[in-house]
This record gives sequence, C-alpha cells and structure tokens, in this order.
Amino acid sequence: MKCSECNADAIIYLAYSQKFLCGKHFSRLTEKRAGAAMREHAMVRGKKRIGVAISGGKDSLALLYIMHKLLGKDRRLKLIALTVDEGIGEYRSESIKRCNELCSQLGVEHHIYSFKDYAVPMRTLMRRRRTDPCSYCGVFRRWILNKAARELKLDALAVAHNLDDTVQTFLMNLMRNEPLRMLRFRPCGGISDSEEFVPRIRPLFAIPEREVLAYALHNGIKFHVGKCPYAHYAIRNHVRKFVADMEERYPGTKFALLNSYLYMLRSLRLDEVPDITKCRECGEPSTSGVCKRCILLSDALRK
Amino acid sequence: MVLIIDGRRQRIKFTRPLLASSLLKLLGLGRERALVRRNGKLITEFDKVSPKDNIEVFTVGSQG
Ligand SMILES: [Zn+2]
Ligand SMILES: [Zn+2]
Repeated sequence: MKCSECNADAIIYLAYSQKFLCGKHFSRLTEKRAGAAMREHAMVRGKKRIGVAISGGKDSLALLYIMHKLLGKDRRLKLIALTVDEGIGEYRSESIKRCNELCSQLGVEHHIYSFKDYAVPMRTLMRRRRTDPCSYCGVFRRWILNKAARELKLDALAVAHNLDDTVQTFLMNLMRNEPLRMLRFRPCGGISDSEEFVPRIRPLFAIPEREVLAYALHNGIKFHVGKCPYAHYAIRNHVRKFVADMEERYPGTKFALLNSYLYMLRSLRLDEVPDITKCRECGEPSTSGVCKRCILLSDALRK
Repeated sequence: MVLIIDGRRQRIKFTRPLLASSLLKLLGLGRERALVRRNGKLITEFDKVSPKDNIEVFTVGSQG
C-alpha cells in the first residue's frame, strides 16, 4: 500500500483516520503529537532539568528518543534518564542493557536505582506472595523515582504512559469508583501540586500504544521485548483486551475515551485530595501518616 | 514455515501468499493488536506476505 501523503510504501494503516502512512510521514505525525502534548499542557515550559524514566521497553525508549529529538538541541534544557531496577532477574538485566545502549547513543546522562538498595527485590517478595506484584512494584517504583528526581533536582519527570495506558487507567478508576485518582495520571502533574512531588509529564499520553511500537521499530530503537513475568496477575489485562476489541470494532474509541477523561479532569478539584504530609517512617510525601511504600515494606518483611 | 512472534520462533502452516491481516487472524490476533514486519520493514495489514518472506510479528501490550 502507498502512503496517503506521498508515493512511498506505507508502514502503517490508521483505521481511525483512514490513513496509510510511510515511515517518514508516520514518524513526523508521532513527533508532532508528542510536541503538541508538551506545548498544550505546558510540560516543559520554564523547566531546566527534565528526567525521563526509562525501563528498556518500547514506550520509554521511544519517549527518550522523541524528547531528545524535539528538545535535545535546546541548550537551556538538560535531559536525564532514570531507570529503576526491580530485581526481576533476567527480565530486567536485558532491559537495562537496552537503556544503556540508547543513552550512550544519544549522549544522555543515565542513573540506575535498584530496588534492593531501597527495599526488597521483587523475587524475594514474590516468594512471600503477600501483595499483588503490580501494585507493590508500582508503589516502590514511584517512591524511588520521586526521591531520585528530587535528589537530582529535576523540574519534571517524563513517564512513558501512552494512550492505551491512559484510557485503561481511566476505565479502571471508573470501575473502582476512585474518581480522584484520575488526577494521578493527568498529562502534566499528579495527585498533588505539593513541592515534595516532582511533577510527572506524559508526552505520549495521546499516542496509541500500537503507534509507539511502530515508531520504535521503524526508527531502529532497540528495546527489550518480553512480558514482565508477573504481568498476568493484573486486572489491567482484561481491560486492555476489552478496549482493543472496541477499538477494532469502532475505530476511534480510544480517542473518544481520552477526550471524556480530559473533560472530566477539568471538573476534578485538587483541593478535594487529602493534604500531603510527610511519612512518619521515611519522610517522603504521603496522603496519610505512613506512606504506602512503608506499609507494604513492613508487611513484606513481617515474619 | 517459521515466523518470529515477539522474539520467539513459532511454526505456522501457510503455503500461499496472503494478506497480513489474514496471517494475524491465523495467529488469533486482531489488526489493532499487532504489527507485521516483512523482510525487516513494517507493512500494513493490507499488504501481502508469502511463505518465502522473513516475517516478524510484534504484539501490542506485551513489551512491558
Ligand atoms: Zn509518506
Ligand atoms: Zn514512607
């Protein structure tokens, strides 16, 4: 098939816009979308040190690649990559290699933080099987990233949430009746505007996961292919399948869900979120006396 | 023939050229859930693949 914009061979068909695109036009569209997201949501405006959380998977490496392409020449701005090593054996060591490769190719400073320096590795925890691995992993990863981002004096931390992540999380929050949690994954910011939280930015929030994958493949980004060995535990898989089926039947469903999310976000109020205090155990910001990480940690270490 | 799905080799029976979308259907994948690379280049689901091609399939939502 030929590109709808030029005569080159198409590499992808976008059913929601009924367009065939070649590598050049598709990459341009993807970068334009990420750039527009950053501008419209003031993700980098006035900021000097921007962290990019990378895991070695396609999303985060594509994010770093795109941000470097769009912002790398801006001398007022510095990009710094951060990786959390959860200690999930081979799954992680392979993916960390991919992170190192891209960072050295782009000349981006890279820091690695290990679960075992802050908590217990996933393997040890999973022998105990007390918590759902994804929630444990997510809580610790966010805790480590926030602490590291503050220590590195970052003005913002970019995370690789794509459109699929956004709409899946949106639906999950609806299903659990946790509307305030919708603030947590907004395009720019988080559950609180407290200074203790380094604001998260999500330049890929409106780009479908399939397109992030196509972008990474087309641009020769070497990423780690493989499922997290604990991923089958997650409810998210059911939601992912449901959304993918709907998108297949009714192209544009994901964008419709995203627009509903952005509309509802405008009516959510930050002042309804409980005040941020310091955790009694670790001193990190928390909405209750002891933070989630410290609660999970003490539970995991209990004999 | 043997094709590669998410980095893993998988044997599949097909002898004549067919649309990439039909190949995905054979694999139980919807068109929104995968990408096909033919001889190192991404193709759309409306392009054809033949058993002589080097075919790689990447599924969406399984790259961590
Ligand atoms: Zn083109
Ligand atoms: Zn704590």
